[in-house]
Amino acid sequence: MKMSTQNTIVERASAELTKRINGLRKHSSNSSTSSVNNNNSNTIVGKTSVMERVTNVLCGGGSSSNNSNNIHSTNLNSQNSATNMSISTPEKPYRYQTKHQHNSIFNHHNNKMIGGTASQGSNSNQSTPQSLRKYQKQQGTNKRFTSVTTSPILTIEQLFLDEKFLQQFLFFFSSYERRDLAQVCTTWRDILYRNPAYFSGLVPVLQCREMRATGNQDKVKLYNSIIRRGFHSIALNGATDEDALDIVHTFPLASKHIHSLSLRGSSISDRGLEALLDFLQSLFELELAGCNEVTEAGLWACLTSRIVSLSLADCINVADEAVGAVAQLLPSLYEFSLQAYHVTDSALSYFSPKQSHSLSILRLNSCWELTNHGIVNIVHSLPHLTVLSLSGCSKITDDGVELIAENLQKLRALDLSWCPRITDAALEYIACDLNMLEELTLDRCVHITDIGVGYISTMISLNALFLRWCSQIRDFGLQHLCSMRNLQVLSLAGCPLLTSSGLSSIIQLRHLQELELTNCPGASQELFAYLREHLPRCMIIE
Amino acid sequence: MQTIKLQSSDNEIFECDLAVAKCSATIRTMLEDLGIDENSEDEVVPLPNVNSAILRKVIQFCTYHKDDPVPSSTDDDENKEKRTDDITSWDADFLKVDQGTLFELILAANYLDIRSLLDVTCKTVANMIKGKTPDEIRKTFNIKNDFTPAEEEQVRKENTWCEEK
Repeated sequence: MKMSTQNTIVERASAELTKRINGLRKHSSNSSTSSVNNNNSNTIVGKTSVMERVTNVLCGGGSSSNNSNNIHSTNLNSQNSATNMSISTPEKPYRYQTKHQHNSIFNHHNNKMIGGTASQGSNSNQSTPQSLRKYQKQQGTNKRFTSVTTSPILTIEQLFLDEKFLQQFLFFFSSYERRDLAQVCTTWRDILYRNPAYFSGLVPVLQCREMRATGNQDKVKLYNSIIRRGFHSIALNGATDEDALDIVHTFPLASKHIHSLSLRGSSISDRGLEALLDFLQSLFELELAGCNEVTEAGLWACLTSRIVSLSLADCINVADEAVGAVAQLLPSLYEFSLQAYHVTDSALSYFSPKQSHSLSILRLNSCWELTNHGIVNIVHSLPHLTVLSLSGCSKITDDGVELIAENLQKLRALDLSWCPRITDAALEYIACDLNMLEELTLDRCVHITDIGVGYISTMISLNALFLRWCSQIRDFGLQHLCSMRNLQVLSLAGCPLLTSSGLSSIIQLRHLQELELTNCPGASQELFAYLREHLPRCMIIE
Repeated sequence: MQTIKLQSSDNEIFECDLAVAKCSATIRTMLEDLGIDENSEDEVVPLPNVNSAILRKVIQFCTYHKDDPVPSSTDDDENKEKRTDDITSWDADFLKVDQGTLFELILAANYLDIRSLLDVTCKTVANMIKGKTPDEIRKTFNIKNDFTPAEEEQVRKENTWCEEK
């Protein structure tokens, strides 16, 4: 629901991050020269993370589009010029375009080399002669009636094993759905595995407990399939130190190819974490969730300056000292997400001057201890934030929001959901000062009334607004919102006072792309039909 | 209005507007390569892979859609997931046919290279198989399971162990 707008913000941010990483990478010798095979300045639909896009720029993986803004970045280096070249000769799969056929054959071979043993199955070869044949056929310049009448595809079986057809057909599915499609037959699998775009937005999750019962050969096959599908991230569920060491020994390619690591619900200790991070030499993004054995000393020992994106959630030992380690050891940190009940206000003053420029995204979710004093520290140490979430920081009041509005003028996205002490006054500060704000989340801010919504409606740059379970909003407030012509995403889920006729005025929001009206008593079937009729391009969530 | 004659596999002749026939890139290419112009009205284009029932449907579809704007190439990022929930009500009604007919239409759209018809038939078929198991999909299209049992287990694991970020 949030994705499309979040992406635009995050995307611009990622261009910045790219610059920074490119700077880092200048020192490393193994700069990849393969070109990014796709570029796109539009909003990217689908779940691609900052890191994914960044790593694509770095490593030429085609798993998602890369923002063409990068090209205009001041920091043009060889990577970016490669991107530039690929713009002038876009490689788009088009029907009846012989050049592409040629390319796809080329890619296929390329992939087989990367995929190693995994792609040596007899059937992966089938597609090559077939596409060669088509390639040759289309080379024929003398296209008379006869050449068309000999089209080889006569049955549905043939069509659904035809590479050219499938390459397009498979784009009518989400990455998640394609997981099932890859299991249909070797032809489908091989076509899907060849193009990383088919798996963008997914992450392979290794279930460590099951992995332990798997033979080495099968593990290697699994790892090869990860590389072959162009994944640059992995997640480990339930990892122990032994599992970590096993990966170090049996997945050597990870050292270079894995840019993003998540450890979830893992009993891994400092020792295992250190071994893993030592091994993963290309790691830029790290997530630890539910790792209760990892200590703050462990973080001091293993965090490396390569990391630009860090997420720590639900790790029992993480508190102020962990923030200290992050502040000291990660000078290029760009994105930091922290969910820790025991972090106090003072931890937020630790950030270094370097980080005050690099850190752009800060999420402090359910950090219950934080008060307005913590906000003082944030606005002083991190004045350049563009994305800030204080979701569930329930001690924050209007005064804290005033500090944010006055000092964090670059904010593009602000999340104050589950901050129940916030009132309409906070929204007045936001509306007055945060002129660049594009996304505002106020879910469960139960004191907000139509007056506050009136303030928000004056924010012309806002394009995404979340007001879930704001129980005091009435039709009158909604009327204000309907003047926000730039609004693309709106959620009024669970707003109990909105009536059917009030909601029907939403059709004035001509640019709306996503509308969430779950659990709205006023949203009848007739209303949905009416909205669909008048907002045909809008995705409406009932 | 200039017309053209199309001949189905069962030798029925259909006369239709040239603009309608030109929705098909295959016919367009044939006409260009043959240099057919205004003077060659007697020319009959044989379409031996399309029977009359399907050709009638195809002409109906193209007649309805002949004035649609051509999608620009920027709308057309091939490496992006495409929506399948945006089928217009006319198209949805048009495609309320049995599975055999739907498959024949998709084959004809592919053979005649009619982008809009191929798109909407693909969407319909995609919606049909979403949520189905690999085995059900194989049965739908008559595709043979050519995995060995070990490969099948492997590919199952490789894919079920992928989650959304």
